[in-house]
Parts: sequence; C-alpha cells; structure tokens
Amino acid sequence: MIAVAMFLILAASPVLAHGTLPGDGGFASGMLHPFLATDHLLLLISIGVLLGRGGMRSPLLALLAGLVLGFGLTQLSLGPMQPANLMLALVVGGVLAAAIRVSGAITIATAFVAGLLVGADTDGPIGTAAITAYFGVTVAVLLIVLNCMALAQLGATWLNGIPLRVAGSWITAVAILVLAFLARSGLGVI
Amino acid sequence: MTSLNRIMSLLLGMLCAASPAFSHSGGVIGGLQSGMLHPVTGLDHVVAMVAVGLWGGILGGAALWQLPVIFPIAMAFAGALGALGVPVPGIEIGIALSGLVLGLAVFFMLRPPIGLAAAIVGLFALFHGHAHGTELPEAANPLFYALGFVVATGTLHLAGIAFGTLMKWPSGRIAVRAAGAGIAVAGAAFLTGFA
Repeated sequence: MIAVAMFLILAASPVLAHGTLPGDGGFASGMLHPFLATDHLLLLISIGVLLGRGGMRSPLLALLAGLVLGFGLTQLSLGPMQPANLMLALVVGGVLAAAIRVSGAITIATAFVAGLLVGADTDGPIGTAAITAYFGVTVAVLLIVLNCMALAQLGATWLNGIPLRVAGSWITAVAILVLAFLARSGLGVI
Repeated sequence: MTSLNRIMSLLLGMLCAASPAFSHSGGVIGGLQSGMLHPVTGLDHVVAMVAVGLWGGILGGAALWQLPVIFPIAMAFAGALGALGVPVPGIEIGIALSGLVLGLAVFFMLRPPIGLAAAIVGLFALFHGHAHGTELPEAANPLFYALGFVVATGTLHLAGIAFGTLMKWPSGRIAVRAAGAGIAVAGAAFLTGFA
C-alpha cells in the first residue's frame, strides 16, 4: 500500500484547494497546512481527544496510513472536502459530548477515515518536492493529534471527564455553525 | 501619586485617546475576536446564559455540566437554521421568556428532574441560537468566528456556575437567589418591552 501511495504522490498534480504559503512548496508549507485549513484542525483536534480519551495509540497508525493513502488521492480532484471533514468532526464531537464508548475497531476506522480526508484534501507541489511538503503535513498532523491526546488523557481523569464532554460539545457546535456558513455560501470553499 | 494611580491615569488617558474599533460594523468580519464579542453584546442573551450556569449549580450533580454541554449543540443547530434563513416563530418572545423562566427557576431554586431541566434549557437554546444565526455576518474565518462564539457562550455559562458555587454559604444563597430575581426581572422587562 505504501508503494502504491508513494507512486500516487509522485504522480500527483497539485489540487490547490486552499493554498499554503505562496511560492513555498516545501516542508514549512506542508506543516502550516493543517493549521491554516481550519476544518482539518477541528477534525484533528476531535480525533486527538477521541484517541486520548480511550488511551489508545494503535489508531495513530491507522490515521497515518489513511493520511499517506489520502496524499495519493489528491490527483483525483475529489472536490471541496470541507463538508466531509466538518461532518466527521461533528460526529466525533457528539460521541465525546455524550461520552459514548466506541470499540477499538470503530476508533481505528474513524482515525483512518480522518487521515484519508485530511490527506486527500491536501494540496502540494508536483514530484519529489511533494515528499517534503507531505512530510511537513504529517509532522503537523502528529503534533496536533498527539498534543490533543495528551491533554485528553489528563482531562479524562479530571472532574470525571467533564472537560472532554464540554470539548466535544464545543467541537460539534463549531462544526454545525461552520457547516451552516458553508451552506449559506453555496458550499463554496471558505 | 501611587503606582496604582499612575497606571489608572495612564489607562484613562489611553481610553480617552482611543479610536473606536467598530468590531460590529457589518459586512465581512474577522475571526475569533468578533465571534467572542457576538454573544456578549446583547443583555437578553447574557442574562439567560448566566442563568443556565446558575441553574446548573442549583441542580447540582450531573446537571452542573449537562446543561452547558447540551446548550451549545442546541444553540448551534438553531443558529444553523437561522443562518440558512429557516423561519422559527416567536424568537424574541422565547428569548425574553428564557430570562424570566430561568431567573425564576434560580430564585425559587427549583429542582425538576434533569431530563425536564435539559429540555427547558435546550428549548431556550433554540431561540437564542436562531437569533444569533440570523444575525451572523459573513465571516472572514468562519471556524474561528464559530469557535469564539461558542467559547464566549460557554464562558458565560461558566460565570454562572462559578457564581453558583457561592451557595455553599448562607449569604451566598441569598446572592444567588437575588441574581435569579434580577435575571427574572430583566426577562420580564424584555418581554413587556420595558427594556
């Protein structure tokens, strides 16, 4: 799968769904991307809290696998993926708010889909320069998710996990509002 | 002149010299800051948000966090309806009623079953959310705007919860009930058009 993904990455044409730093196609651009594409940020925060709440690390591999595969799918021009990113964040936030326990398999599948969405919605330069950009994206994704996991692990043992439920509620509320903004602007990229 | 006085004089001078920020001047607005300002600019919203936190404190136990967890989701759902132009009748009356009802619940220290309390709070959240959604301008950064909006609302709930912790002391109970009475009076004033 990695070999296929690597081939797809090298063959991928830029999607430029939402630009990073103009003129910079390297590591820095890639690393900034998940922070600037705020729907990615919200989704990754929700995934980090979900993984941290469950104290599981194996879904991280699924997230990375989905991310790498997603990088390879950028050439398919799947169109604006913000609604899908926000919908998944909305659902994960709801699961956190309601303190619903999910099985390991579902968590792994969710992490994989999240990685896939983020990866496939990431623009990048063509050819070998894409590798450094995608490496930057991967580092940023890990930074966001690992930090949220660490905070969530703290939050899970504090005040009976209430901070995590509040965080989930806020994630869902933000996702709903941004989806409304999107719908109002005709599902254009915002 | 003491250091405190010097600082206060300096701050006063800066305030007088400052030009207005016009954060709500309409059109395309910014992100986090504008979002955070939106829920705190209407007194009818503010008193109801604080009342939710106060009532959660009175109900105690799970209600302390369940109400502030339910409220943002219900509010955002209704906000989406408002932003999309879906009409809901009686919005302003519902908002004014929320202050009156929640204020009275705090004043009388009512303790209904958590399900009923959550339903009441959720219903009022729909009115507040729809009003906010209708007023939502085009945001330059929708996610940070929405984040600021939700966090500011949550902070108002937290203020109510924090104030509610005063109930540990007899004089604190009086203060909480007085706050509830004040919120109910404000709600009645909004309802009757006096405010």
